[in-house]
Amino acid sequence: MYDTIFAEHYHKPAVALVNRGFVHDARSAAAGKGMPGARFVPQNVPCECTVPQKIDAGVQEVVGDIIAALTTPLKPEEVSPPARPSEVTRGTVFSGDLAEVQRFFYKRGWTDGLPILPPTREAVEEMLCGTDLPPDHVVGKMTPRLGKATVEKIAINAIMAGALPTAMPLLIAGVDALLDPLSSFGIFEVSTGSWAPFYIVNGPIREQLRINGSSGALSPGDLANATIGRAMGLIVKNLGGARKGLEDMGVLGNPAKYSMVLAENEEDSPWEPQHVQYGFEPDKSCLTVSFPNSYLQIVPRGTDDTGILGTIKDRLGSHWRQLTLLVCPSHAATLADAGWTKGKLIEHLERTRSEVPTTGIGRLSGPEAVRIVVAGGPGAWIGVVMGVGRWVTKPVVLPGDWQRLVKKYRDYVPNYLQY
Amino acid sequence: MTQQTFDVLSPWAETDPQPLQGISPRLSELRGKRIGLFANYKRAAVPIQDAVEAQLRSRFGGEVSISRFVQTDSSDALSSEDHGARYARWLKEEVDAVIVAVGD
Repeated sequence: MYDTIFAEHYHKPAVALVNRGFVHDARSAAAGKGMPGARFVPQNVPCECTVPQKIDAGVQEVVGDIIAALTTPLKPEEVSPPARPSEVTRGTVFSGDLAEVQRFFYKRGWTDGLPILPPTREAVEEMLCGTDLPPDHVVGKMTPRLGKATVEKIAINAIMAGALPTAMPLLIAGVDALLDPLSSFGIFEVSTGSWAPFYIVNGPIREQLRINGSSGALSPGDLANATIGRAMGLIVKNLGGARKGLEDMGVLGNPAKYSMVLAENEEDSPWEPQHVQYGFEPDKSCLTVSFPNSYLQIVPRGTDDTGILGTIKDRLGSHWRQLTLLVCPSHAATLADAGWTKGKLIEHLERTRSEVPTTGIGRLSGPEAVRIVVAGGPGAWIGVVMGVGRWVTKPVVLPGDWQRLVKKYRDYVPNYLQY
Repeated sequence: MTQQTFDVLSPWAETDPQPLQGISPRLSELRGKRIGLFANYKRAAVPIQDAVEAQLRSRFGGEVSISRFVQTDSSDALSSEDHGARYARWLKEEVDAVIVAVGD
C-alpha cells in the first residue's frame, strides 16, 4: 500500500490490487501511514502466481472494480478521514489476579500465547535499573504502526517475557538494530517468508547474563536466551504492531519467532569473535541481528577439514544467498589447525554459490553473504542458518551501576540435581 | 487463599498523533488519460500488469495511454531515496492515475 499512498501524495488517483488474504494488512498499512481511505481492490490471483491463465482470470474478474476505484467520486470520509479513537496506553489498564491478568492480556492480543508476568509499576521500576536512559526516551518508532519504542514500553514487554533487568541494555540495542535500515526489519517482520530475528551476542555481557553459547544454546532452558528473544518478539508485536495473520503475513510462521538467541562461544573459539571481526573491541559487548527463516543441522561425512567443508558445500548447493554458519568448537579447532580462518572460510563458502536468488534486496557478497560463528558444545554438528538479508551489529550501552545489577541477579541460575 | 491483585500497565505503544490525509479526486473517466501501471519486485507483479493492460486495451483500445514502472528493489517508495525519486518523477511526468500491483 505504501507505493499507492506515495502516488496519492503526488495527487494521482491510485488503486492497489491486493490478494484477498491481505486485506487486513492493506488496511493497517494505509491507516499506519495516515491515509485510511487509500483504495484497493481485493483480487483472487494466487500469491506469487506464475500461471498466466490464473492471472488473466483473476484480473478479468476485478477489472470493473479497478476502473471504478479510479473513477467513482470520493465519499466524504475519503476526503476528510475521521479521527480514530485513541488507545489508552498510559497508566493502569487492568487490575486483577494472576489468572485474570493472563486472560486480559491474551484476549487483547498482547501475548505470544504463553503466560506472561504482570507488568506492574513496581516491576517496571526494577526493570528500568537496567538502563540510565529515562523511561520516556524514544529509541525509535517501530513499523508498521510507528509505535514509539520508549524505554518504559520496552521494559513492560521485557517483564511480560520474564526477562531480568540486566537484559535491558541488550533489548535497547536490539530495538536499535531492528530500526537500522540495513536490517530491512520493516520488510522481514511482516513478510510471507516468516523471517525470524536471530540475535547473536558477543563480548563480556554473555558471561554476565549467562547467555548460553555452548551445549544446546538454541534449546529452551536458559533464562537469558529464552527471555531476551521472547521480549524482542513482544516488542515487535506490541510496539511495532506486527500481529500474525493481520500485519505479519508469514505463510507458515516460524518457531524462532519465540526466541532465537545465542552467545558466540568465544572461549572455545580459535578465531577472533564476530564483533571484533567487524570492528569492535574485544571487551565491548555487542548484539547482532539478522533475519533467517530456516535452521538446518548437519553432521559431516568426515571430521577433517575436507569432510566438514565438503558436507557443508553439498548441503548448501549453489542457490543460496545469505548464510550464518554455526561451527561447533571441535570443528572450529579442526579447521583452524588446517589453516582455515574465518575470512578464508567466508571466501571459500561464497565461491560455492553459482546462482544467487534475486530477492530485490540487492546482491550480497563476501562478508555480506557469510558469517562464521563458533557455537555449541561437545559433539560434531554444524548449524546452517539461511537468510536473504544483512547482519546489523550494535554496541550495548550499560548503565553506570552495571556491576551492582549483575551481582544482584548473578546467582539466578538453575541448579540441576544429579540423578 | 486470597489472590494478589495486580495493577498492570499496557505493553501497547503510543503513537504520535498523525494528521489523516484524504485521497486524490478521481478521474471522470479513463478515456484520454495516461494510466500508470506500477509493478513491485515480486515475480507476479509484472504479469498481473500485463493482464491489466490487456483488459484496459480490450475496453478502451487506443483511447488510454499506458505507462509502466517496475520497482527494482524491495524498498518501498516511502523508504527508498532512489526508488522514491524515480517513482516520483514518473508520477509527475508520465501518468494521470496509477494501478499498483504487488504480486501478493
